[in-house]
Amino acid sequence: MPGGYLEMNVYKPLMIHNIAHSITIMTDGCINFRKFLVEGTRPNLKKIKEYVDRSLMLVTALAPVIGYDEASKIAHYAMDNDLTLKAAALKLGFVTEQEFDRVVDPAKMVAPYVATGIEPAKTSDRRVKEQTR
Amino acid sequence: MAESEKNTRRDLISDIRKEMDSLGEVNVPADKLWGAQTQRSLEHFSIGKDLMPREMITAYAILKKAAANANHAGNRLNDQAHRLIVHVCDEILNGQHHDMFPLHVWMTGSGTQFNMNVNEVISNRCCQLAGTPLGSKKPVHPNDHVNMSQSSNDSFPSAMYIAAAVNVTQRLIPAVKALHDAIAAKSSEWTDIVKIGRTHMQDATPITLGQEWSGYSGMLADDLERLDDALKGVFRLALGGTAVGTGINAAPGFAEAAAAEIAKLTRLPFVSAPNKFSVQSAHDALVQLSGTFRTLAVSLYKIGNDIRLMSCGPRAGFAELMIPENEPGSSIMPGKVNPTQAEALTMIAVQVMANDVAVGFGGARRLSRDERLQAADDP
Repeated sequence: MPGGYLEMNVYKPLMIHNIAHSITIMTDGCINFRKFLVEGTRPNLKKIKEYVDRSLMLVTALAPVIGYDEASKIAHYAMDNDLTLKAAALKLGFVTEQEFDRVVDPAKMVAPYVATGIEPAKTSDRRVKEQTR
Repeated sequence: MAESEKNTRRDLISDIRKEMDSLGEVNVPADKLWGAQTQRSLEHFSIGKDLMPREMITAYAILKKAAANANHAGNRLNDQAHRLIVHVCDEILNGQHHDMFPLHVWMTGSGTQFNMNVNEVISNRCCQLAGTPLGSKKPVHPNDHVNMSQSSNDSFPSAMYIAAAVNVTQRLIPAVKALHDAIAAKSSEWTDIVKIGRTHMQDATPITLGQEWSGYSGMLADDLERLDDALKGVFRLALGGTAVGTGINAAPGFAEAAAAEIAKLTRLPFVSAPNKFSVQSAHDALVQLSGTFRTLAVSLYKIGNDIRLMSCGPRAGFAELMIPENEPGSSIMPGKVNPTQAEALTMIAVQVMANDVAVGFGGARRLSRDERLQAADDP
C-alpha cells in the first residue's frame, strides 16, 4: 500500500534517500554532459547537406502547387528509380526546372511557407505519366 | 579472521564508554560523539551500505540552530545552552563532525534515531566545549535542550524539506540552467544550418539544426519552471507540529519563529505550514518534487538519445553531429569513440525515474476508508 498510515508517514528515510540521490546524479550528470559533450559538439556540414540534397520529403513544398497526389508520384518515382527529387519531377514533367528550384527551396521550408503562383507545366510528358499510374 | 586481526579489533572495541538512555546503559566507542540511541540503531539496523543522505546532516544543523534561536528568543532556552548549540551547529555547517552520523537509511520510518543522533552529537560536543564528561548531558541535554519544542515527527520532515529545497536551488537548478544555456548557445550558432527532419525515424521536411536544438533548450526551460513551481510546497515546514501535528510541547509562536529563522539561514522562502496535519501525515510536496525530477529526467533521456543517434557513425551512421572524443572507446577496436556522456546521462534518467517510483510508493497518499479496508485485506 502506498503512503503512510494515520497521523504520520513512515517512509521518510526512503523518500529523502531517493530524492537526494536524484538531485545528486542529475546535477552531476547535467554538468558533465554539458562540459564533455554539448560544448564540444560540432555539426558535420558535409553530411547534413548530403542528406538534404537527397531528401525526397522536400516534395512536400510542391503539394500546395501541384496537389498531394502528383507530388506523391514524384516522390515514389524518385525512390523507385533512384533519382533525385528534381530529376524525377522533371522526368514526370509536372514542373519546370525553374519552377522546381523556386518552390523546392529547403531554406524556405523551415518556417511557415506556402508556395503558390506556378504556371501549369508545359513540357508534360504523357507517356511517362501513364507509366506511373 | 586472523588472530592478530581479532586482537586489533578487541583493542579498538575495548576503548568504550557507557552512555545512558531511557532503556538503560549502552557501550559506545569512546572516540565517537554519538550516544546510546544512535548506538542502538547502528546495531539493530546495520543494513546495507546506504547511509542517511549527507544532505540531511547539514539540513538538521540548520534546523537545530534555528530552533535554538527561536527558543532562546522566547526565553525558553538559557544563554549558555543557546550559545553552545549554535556553536556546534556552525561547526557542523562548516563541515566538521560529519563522520559522527553513521546511521543507515533502512531504519525506523520516522527517522527518529537520526534526529537523536543529531541531538546526541550536539549534546556531547557541547560537553567537550564546556569541559564536562561525554554522556553527562550537561550543560546541554539532547532532548530537553537540543530537541526543545520538537518531535522527530515534525523535525525530520522539516529537515527533509530543507535538504531538498537547498540542494535543488543550489545544485540542481544551476546545473540544469548551465546545460540549458550551453544548448541554447549552440542553437543560436546553428540557425542557418538546414538539415533533414525526421519523424517515425523516417525522412521528413527540413528543419534547421538551431530549431532542433532550441527544442531541447525549450524542454529544459519548461523543466526549470516546473522545479520552481514544485518548490512552493517544499517551502512549507512541519516544524512546530511536534508529535502528531497539534503542537503539544511547542510554545505558541515557536513554529513561525523557527520557520523564519530557517528562511533567514537558507535565504529561501520557508514558512510554517498552515496545516501541520497534512504535512506530517503525508509528504505530497516531496512526491510532487520527485515527479518533477521524473519530468526533467524524461527531457534529459530524450536529449541524450537524440544526440547519440545524430552522432552515430562515423562512417556507417547518421553522422550529422561530431561529438568530443573524450576517451578511447574500445579495448579491442582501435580508434573507436563512443557517445559515453549520452550513455551516462540516459542511465541517470532511468535511475531517477526508478527513484520516483519509490518516492511515490513511500509518499503521500492518506488512506481513505476503503483503502484502509484494502490494506487490512492485504496478507
